Amino acid sequence: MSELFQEAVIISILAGTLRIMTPILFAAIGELVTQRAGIWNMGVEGTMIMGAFVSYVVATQSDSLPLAILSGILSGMVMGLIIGFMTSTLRVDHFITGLGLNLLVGGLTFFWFRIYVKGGHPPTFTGLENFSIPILASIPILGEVFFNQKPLTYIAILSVPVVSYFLYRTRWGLEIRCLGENPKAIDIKGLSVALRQYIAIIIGSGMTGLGGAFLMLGFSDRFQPDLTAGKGWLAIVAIIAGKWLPKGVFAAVLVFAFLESVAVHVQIIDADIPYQIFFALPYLASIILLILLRRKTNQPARLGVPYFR
Amino acid sequence: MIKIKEFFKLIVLGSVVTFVLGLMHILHAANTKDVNIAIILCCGVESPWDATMVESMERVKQAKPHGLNITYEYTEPIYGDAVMDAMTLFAESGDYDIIICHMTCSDMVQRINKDYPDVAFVSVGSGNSSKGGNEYWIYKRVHEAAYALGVLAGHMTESGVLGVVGTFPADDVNDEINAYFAGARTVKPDLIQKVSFIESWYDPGKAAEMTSAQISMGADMIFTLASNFAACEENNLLCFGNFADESHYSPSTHLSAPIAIWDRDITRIIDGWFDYKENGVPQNGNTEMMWTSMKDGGAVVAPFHGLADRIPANIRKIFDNTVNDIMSGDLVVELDVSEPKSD
Repeated sequence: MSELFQEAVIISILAGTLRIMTPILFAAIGELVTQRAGIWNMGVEGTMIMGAFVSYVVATQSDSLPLAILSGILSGMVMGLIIGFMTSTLRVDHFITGLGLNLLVGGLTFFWFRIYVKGGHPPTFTGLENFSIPILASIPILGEVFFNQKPLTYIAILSVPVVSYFLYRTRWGLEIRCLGENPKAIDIKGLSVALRQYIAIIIGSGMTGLGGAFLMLGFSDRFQPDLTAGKGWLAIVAIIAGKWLPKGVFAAVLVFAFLESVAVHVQIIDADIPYQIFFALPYLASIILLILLRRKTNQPARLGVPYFR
Repeated sequence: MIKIKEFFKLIVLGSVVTFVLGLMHILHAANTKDVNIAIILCCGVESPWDATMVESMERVKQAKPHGLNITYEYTEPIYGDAVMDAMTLFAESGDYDIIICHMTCSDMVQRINKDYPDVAFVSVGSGNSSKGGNEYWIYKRVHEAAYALGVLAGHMTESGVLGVVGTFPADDVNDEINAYFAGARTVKPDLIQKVSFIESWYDPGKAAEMTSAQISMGADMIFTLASNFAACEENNLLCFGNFADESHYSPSTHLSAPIAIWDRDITRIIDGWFDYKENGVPQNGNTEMMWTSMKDGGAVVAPFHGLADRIPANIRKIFDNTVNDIMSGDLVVELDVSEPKSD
């Protein structure tokens, strides 16, 4: 067990934490924007799978990673548009919409994948590579952990202050937060509730699609159904654990990712404790956090409640 | 005179009965010119586990055992209760003679197989059992091929640290991981082994992380059973795949793989079913696990393709000799199914 505290292992755990964190953070921060606008989008998992699938097809067809990433974002935005139409325009129950879309996308992407590969070998692509930030990457320990990651990891971390600024320092952000607390106030001012909810969910789902694209292009060499392996659900838990605050969500995702990274490394050292316990840690942590924070929640008052004039 | 008449009557009657029985036999035999097989897949036809079964089925179809015209179809990946539903639907339709459930599902088979005595039910892999009759059990071990690759890895590793990323620590997963390390230890007895299980049949994120983690802890060759070569490519390391030749995913890193060949196993099932249909011999499925050795065509080692030049000639010779020894029976690879751990 003491091997866990060796320098090389610590560096590997911390670097792995940032990699594992990236797709979940994109999805969680995106979903935060959506939920702040009053839409409880349960379709995060499905949106990630769609982003992963579309980016896979574009990457294999175009051999262009930027195009693949962009298409992953766009596919997420289209998913957001659909969810927005269902929840904001048709005012369908938010949970049913999200869960239904997850099931639909799971089957649909698999069906498209079958058509795409036509029974042959699935086409391949060259994945995202690490980018070492000059000078900083050569700093001992810190350089390897923080400054030798994939570019999207830096963007994911940057998205936290950017979204925080957007939500708390801009008029649009204020309006979006108001939608989650009291959409009538927006309506009385003569502003469109639906338009703002659409914008929020399209931005949020675009980020979730980006998370799916990262999972595909940064972690895998092939598309598979259930590629996301529950990461979309973890993003939702992170929002609740993070009390609907950007820095809280970031901290929650970081904790989950760290625990998973530890679980990954525990197997590789000669630990006496069964490694399965460590695999359960992120989920145990989320349950414990939910219990501890149940009275201190900042959950938007009108979250998941369809707005009727 | 009357007795002679009756005698002739008996002869005529006997001839008619013999003729009718002969005709029935011919007609019966005509029915066993075709066999229709359903395969219920667990993981999808792209996965090495399922892909190799379908490939083997295609080869057996071409080989036409007993002159049978084999037709087959396979499902999309399904699991849980859906497997039971699919199995029942296939059996109930009356269109299928053999139903292969390519996963752990013998408990489901045992709930319905007696209702369809003309159908042969097959479960595949670890976690199964069999009560015989029209219930068969196919097992697959590729540990001998893994051993040979371990010998190769033992020679080629520079760090002396070998990594394996597994799926679940199951009997038919542990066997090949242990054999791989055993092969490597014949070359480097002080070898350090690193083992991780993703605890899933597919989780590319975890598989990539575990590969990266093993590499960061010194492993310079990875045997990945988790079907993801992204981390191998990123670190420009040679890696082994598993069960199928997946070199097309990563031609620059996929050195080889133990490959599962199911032809003999499928033929064994067809033989049992055919004997029942053609000769009325009761189906007698195996109650103990049965697997086909490398010598008998149960497994092979994948070709090195474009990476053959990366293997020094002397090491290649040792590797070839190891394979030859296994094939000739001179080398018996010990079966060890205990859960492998990291050093």
